[in-house]
Amino acid sequence: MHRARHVGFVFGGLLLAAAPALAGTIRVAWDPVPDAQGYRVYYGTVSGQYTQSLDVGPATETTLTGLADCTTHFVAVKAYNAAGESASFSNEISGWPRPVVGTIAPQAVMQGNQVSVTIRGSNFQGGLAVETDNPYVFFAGAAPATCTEIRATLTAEPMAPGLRAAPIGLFGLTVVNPDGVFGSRTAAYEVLINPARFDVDQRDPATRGRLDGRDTIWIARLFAARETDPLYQPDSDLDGDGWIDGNDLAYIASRLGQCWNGLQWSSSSCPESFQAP
Amino acid sequence: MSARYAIVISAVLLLVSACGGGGDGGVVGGGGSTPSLQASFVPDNPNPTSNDVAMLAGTSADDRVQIRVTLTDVNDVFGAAFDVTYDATAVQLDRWLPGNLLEQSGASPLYFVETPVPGRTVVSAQLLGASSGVNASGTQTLIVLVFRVLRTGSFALGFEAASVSDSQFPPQPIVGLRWSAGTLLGT
Repeated sequence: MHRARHVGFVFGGLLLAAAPALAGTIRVAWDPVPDAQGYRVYYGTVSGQYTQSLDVGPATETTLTGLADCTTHFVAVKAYNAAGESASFSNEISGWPRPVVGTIAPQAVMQGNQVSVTIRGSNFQGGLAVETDNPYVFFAGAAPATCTEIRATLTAEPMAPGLRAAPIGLFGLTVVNPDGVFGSRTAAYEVLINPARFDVDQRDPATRGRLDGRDTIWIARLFAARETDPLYQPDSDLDGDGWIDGNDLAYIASRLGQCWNGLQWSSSSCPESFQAP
Repeated sequence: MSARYAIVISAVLLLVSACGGGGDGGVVGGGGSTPSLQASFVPDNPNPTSNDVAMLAGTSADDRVQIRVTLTDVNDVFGAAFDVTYDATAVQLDRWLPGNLLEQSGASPLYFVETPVPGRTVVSAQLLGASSGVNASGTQTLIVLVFRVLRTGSFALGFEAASVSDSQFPPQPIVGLRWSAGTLLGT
């Protein structure tokens, strides 16, 4: 048997590492052909007109590299053995290179804020989606302004009291094109703690806007409550890690006696009644 | 899960030690730049009764004096929060020591003592994660504040923004408490 049979394709979607910038990649895979000793992948930017080829040996998948960004590439495969190459190509597939996620600006967002962000990279297609590994951060209205720039609205919870806060720290971004091909970047942006949330016990108007023992007592009473506990209270989970713990207590305790001026906690922001006697 | 617990607890312990507290038994150390100065404390309410929160005199040595912040016959105490005010040109907070009230719970009480502005020390003492409070039977000490007087004279201490909370959630202020402080003397 000297002819390729049943050469099929699927676009691979399993490569998690971001592709090198400005060097587009497409990963292709196909069904093996009986009696084939190897395969040659043909590709180009016009359907049916393949200007380049790559002998991948007996492998049934490969990643094409060095492709022009933001360009549709067409790919087909032939099988070969000692008798030569199959006469016909496999079915042809087409698509853009894998999205490459570069930078996001602004790179940091505070809990409880909604900001417009710009994601730069390449191979962004209309209809894409932006995803993140922070379950309490959302990207809405994501759309490419160009194939190298996405505009979106980033929301970091909590946008209202009683909602779980976005965990703080560095998080990854994934851009998924409509064909399911995606590109990711780890530690792409940072969620910052929102110090305006530290005043957890605001029941007493006299001490509202000031951090004192009432706030530490509040957290201490909830200490070790995790997200699944009935006692867990999202507003007291300051760092959004799903636990009310020593970290939450420390945010308050380290600012004991300080007052909120709308931007930060400081002792000089306290009213006369809390200044030196 | 147990590993996570260990991380949380160690974070809290670090915090406590960073606050400068210690539990060495409460003997006031002598010495200082003006050894001839003698400190003492005159409480406003030397004989507290039920529902009193009172500053009482502890031991003194040279220019330092212990002041015990006490509660008398108060039930279900989870924590207390208050400011102590004083003339910072005449008085300094030297250190603090845990009292016996919260320590009896076995629930790892936490103390935070900060002086954000001269003359105003913010104190917070609480149990940690306990589902019930402790009872102050008779007069028991919540925390000991060790003050140092810097010159001769009488200098008033005061309580401000003061409350004692019970173990409900959210913790509720215990109503009907009477707060009394006192006067530091430097002689």
